[in-house]
Amino acid sequence: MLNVLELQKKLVAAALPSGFEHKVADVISEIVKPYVDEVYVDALGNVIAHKKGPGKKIMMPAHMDTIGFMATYIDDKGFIRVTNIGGISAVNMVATPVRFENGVKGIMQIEGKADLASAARNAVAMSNMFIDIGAKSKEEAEKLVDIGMVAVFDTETKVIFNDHLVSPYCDDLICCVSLILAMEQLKDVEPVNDLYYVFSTQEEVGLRGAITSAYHIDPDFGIALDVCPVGDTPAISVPMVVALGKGPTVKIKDASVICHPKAVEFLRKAAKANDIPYQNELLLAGGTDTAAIQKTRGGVIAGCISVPTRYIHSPQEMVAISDVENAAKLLAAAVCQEIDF
Amino acid sequence: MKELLKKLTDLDGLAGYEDEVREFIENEIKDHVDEMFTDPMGNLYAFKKGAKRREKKLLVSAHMDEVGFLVHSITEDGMLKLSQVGGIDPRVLVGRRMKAGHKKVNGIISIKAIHLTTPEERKVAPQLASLYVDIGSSSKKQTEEYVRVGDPVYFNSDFIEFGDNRIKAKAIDDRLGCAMMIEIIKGDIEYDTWFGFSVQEEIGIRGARVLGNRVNPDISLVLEGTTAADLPNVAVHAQACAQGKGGVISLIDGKTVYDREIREPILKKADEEGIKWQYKTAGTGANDNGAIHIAKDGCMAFGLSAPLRYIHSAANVLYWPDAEEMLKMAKLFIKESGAL
Amino acid sequence: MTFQEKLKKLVNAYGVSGDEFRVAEIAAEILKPYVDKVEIDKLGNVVGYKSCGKPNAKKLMLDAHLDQIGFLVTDITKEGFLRFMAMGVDPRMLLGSELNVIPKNGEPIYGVVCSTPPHLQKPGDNKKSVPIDQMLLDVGMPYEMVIEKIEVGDYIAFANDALDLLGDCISSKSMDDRACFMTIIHALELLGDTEIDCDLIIVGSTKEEVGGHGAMARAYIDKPDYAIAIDVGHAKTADSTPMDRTQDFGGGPIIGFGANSIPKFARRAVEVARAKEIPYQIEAIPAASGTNAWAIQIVEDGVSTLVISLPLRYMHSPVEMLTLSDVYNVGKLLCEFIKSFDGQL
Repeated sequence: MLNVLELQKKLVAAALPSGFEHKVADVISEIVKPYVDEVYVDALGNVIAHKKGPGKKIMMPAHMDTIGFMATYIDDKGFIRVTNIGGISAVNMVATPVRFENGVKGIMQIEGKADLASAARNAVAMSNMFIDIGAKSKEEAEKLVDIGMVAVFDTETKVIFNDHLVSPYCDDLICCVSLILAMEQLKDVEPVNDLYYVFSTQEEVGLRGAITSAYHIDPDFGIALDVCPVGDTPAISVPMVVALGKGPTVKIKDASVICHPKAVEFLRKAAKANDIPYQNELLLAGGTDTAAIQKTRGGVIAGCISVPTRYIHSPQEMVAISDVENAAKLLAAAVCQEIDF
Repeated sequence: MKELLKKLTDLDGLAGYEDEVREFIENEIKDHVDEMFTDPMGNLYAFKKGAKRREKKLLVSAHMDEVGFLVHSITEDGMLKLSQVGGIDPRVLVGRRMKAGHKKVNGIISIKAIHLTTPEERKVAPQLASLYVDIGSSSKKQTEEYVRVGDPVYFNSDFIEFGDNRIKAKAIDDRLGCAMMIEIIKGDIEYDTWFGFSVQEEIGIRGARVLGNRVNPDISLVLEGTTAADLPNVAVHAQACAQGKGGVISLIDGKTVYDREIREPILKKADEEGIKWQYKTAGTGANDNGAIHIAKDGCMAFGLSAPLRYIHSAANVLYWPDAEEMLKMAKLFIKESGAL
Repeated sequence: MTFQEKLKKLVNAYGVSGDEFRVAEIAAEILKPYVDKVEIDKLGNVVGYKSCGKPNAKKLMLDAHLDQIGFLVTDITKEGFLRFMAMGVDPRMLLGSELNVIPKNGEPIYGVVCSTPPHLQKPGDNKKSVPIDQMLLDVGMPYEMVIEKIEVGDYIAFANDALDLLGDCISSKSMDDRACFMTIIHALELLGDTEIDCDLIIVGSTKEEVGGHGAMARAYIDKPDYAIAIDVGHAKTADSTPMDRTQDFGGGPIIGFGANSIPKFARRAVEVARAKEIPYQIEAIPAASGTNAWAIQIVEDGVSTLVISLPLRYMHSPVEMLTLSDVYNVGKLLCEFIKSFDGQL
């Protein structure tokens, strides 16, 4: 079986923020080619891998874009101002190592006059942040970075105690890993349904890739793969039952969608029949590609399998490798079931 | 084009009530297009054949609606209470002249005289809920002869040229975009092009969604007005764009990540031809591209705007040479995009 | 069954956003006698078709949503109490309220939302509103019994049935928006076999409270030329202020004017109301109407939309209140509109 850590490292090295998915799209296309009948890229850059089969058309998206930054201004002293791509809490970004798309590294810091002690979380904005790439002047900086260039978190991917994986962008690259693992498991299995594995773009800025690819594919059923928050650390503000290492979740609801009861049952059935541990997930906040599928054309029944993740949208997110592997198993088992709705 | 802009900004049209503006545009372009129609929402579509066919369908668009108000209720003494259509900072309303209802009667918005206020009261800016339009009536019955609940209320703001090549008017966002499209349609173009004059942009880029569905282009060019905060009390990196530097090119905004693929070759060409342009250095705001680029299968997006000071107020301010540079860029895009 | 009995059966039924199948069955039964055919689609939308029999007739959709606001079980404590999350409910009315948990199979399970007894409160506590994530639902069973019947993810709804008040006032949960589904039924009753010029598509839609997904899907599939969204509107209450968007209780159907309830369409409705002497009210809708019209208007090639509202007090509470005279007047306006509509605005 493919190795989760190695795959995640490969994807993290190529991944860029929403709208700039071409590099990671190439890496993923190469990896998944042997598992399907055709791989192609659509108008918004979504990688669509199609394994032909009878039965119903199932669309399974995991998004390959990340949150990040775009350079908007270089000041007289060579410090770079940025805007965020996707949801970022500026206060989480103080002292974060970043890397531009051309490899230039820097540290994100905060203006002195933005006083963290007396300011509420929301009072600190991205406009109070800047990136220091070590340039001594504007001219030096301009040789290295152009306005419009994007940057990502430049932090490590590694496995720590208890087989927990720490990495930037578990949201949602670790689900791309799960999707690839599922594809590998189904490689030689006779398909029961017509499978569309989709590595979608621009989820972080509004599910945009999933909206257009769902319209294009016009599926009968959808199962998205994304991360979900957990309730088992001191970092939480609202109680939640989901915990790390207790299995992937079957999503019932998030802020963007209420999953159709038949979709929820379908996934639970697959988990129970194959002895795969699972948890129930209900979220007040957060949106996923599931909503894009559900709202397309005349409406589509859609569900979601989530990998429980700690510290989402921070430079170091954490998952349990067993959950990643079980998510892949659950997806593979589910799409081999007949769809009677 | 300046004359055209004046006529367009003198017209009134807010979300749901764009008829007056659309009729004017239809009249201007009808003899210069090969196909023209309107959809049930009120979007105006025009197709103009060029000297050559395109491989990738292009849609050029601008919105016809401006920000304004609807009459929410009429008080017993005949004052109009308002609901806003589009985002308007209530602080720009006090002391304003307005036109109300389909008969466009004059009205004003103001508050009690300063002598009657305390220093504490003056620290708080009145919100829309406490403001009202006075049309000089003394009773609800009298007011109702001229204005009804649900009627539109607009800024009363004349087109004025002032200072160093500057223009003040209401609704330059986005009548300037409409004016440019009319200019372009009246001339000859290289390639077949679709033009869309959209409705209801200010309340959530609504008309553009249907525009995108019906035309289903491969490339979308939106002509807009965007906020220029090039003022003394704003730090340079937070100004978004500045007057005098030409048309503003979008990199990213609240609803769209713009495609480098089409942007880079176009800007290279623009530099060769000496057209002035600048990047928008803020990621805020949104325009019709937000809806068009994800309609149906999706398409590539390009955002071109004029740097406007004080947008969404009665007194938009434009530096005319920026409009001229923006028009050059728009024409260049229409030509060069045919080869992409 | 009388009209009132049908209304009560509908509002007493269970159907929280996302799980409307039970109330959809009842709505479909009620609709059947008035249309050529009725179906319930995979999302739970009830759709009824009434053809006018004329070629190239325009299609007019009348939509009212069937889903009610409700809750979901998020956790079961070791003492057998339930934690829950709400969809569209004001937390201030929950302490001490009576709810039903709706398990997948089996009967609803009754519970009470826990409130701190007065003698245990600290001074000032009773001025603070308790956030929902700190509330607990007491179903009166120990943990072992609870987990046999209830699962995380199960739906919860207000428990009370409809209540008759003075005159023709009725108070109940789910008047939003099932009372409006009944206005359509009243319109169809009045219409009878009268010849009309449009094909009618009647929709009892799902998931309005979470974004109008049900109506959106039907607009895509049925491709109406015109759509009227009939939803509830806020009626004045003793504590509303002049700036709140409220209309008169008993003042008749509320016709919306604005981008989402297009002026041409609205003006036609006003003409009909005047001609037929039906009391009506007007409201300005400057942007989003807060109804299915917002989602329907921009589906595919676009739909001309109109919003007609039924005055309702205490919206999104378990005791929403209406007066039947408003319900009948909304129905009458719809009927007269359909009779006079030739498919052109």
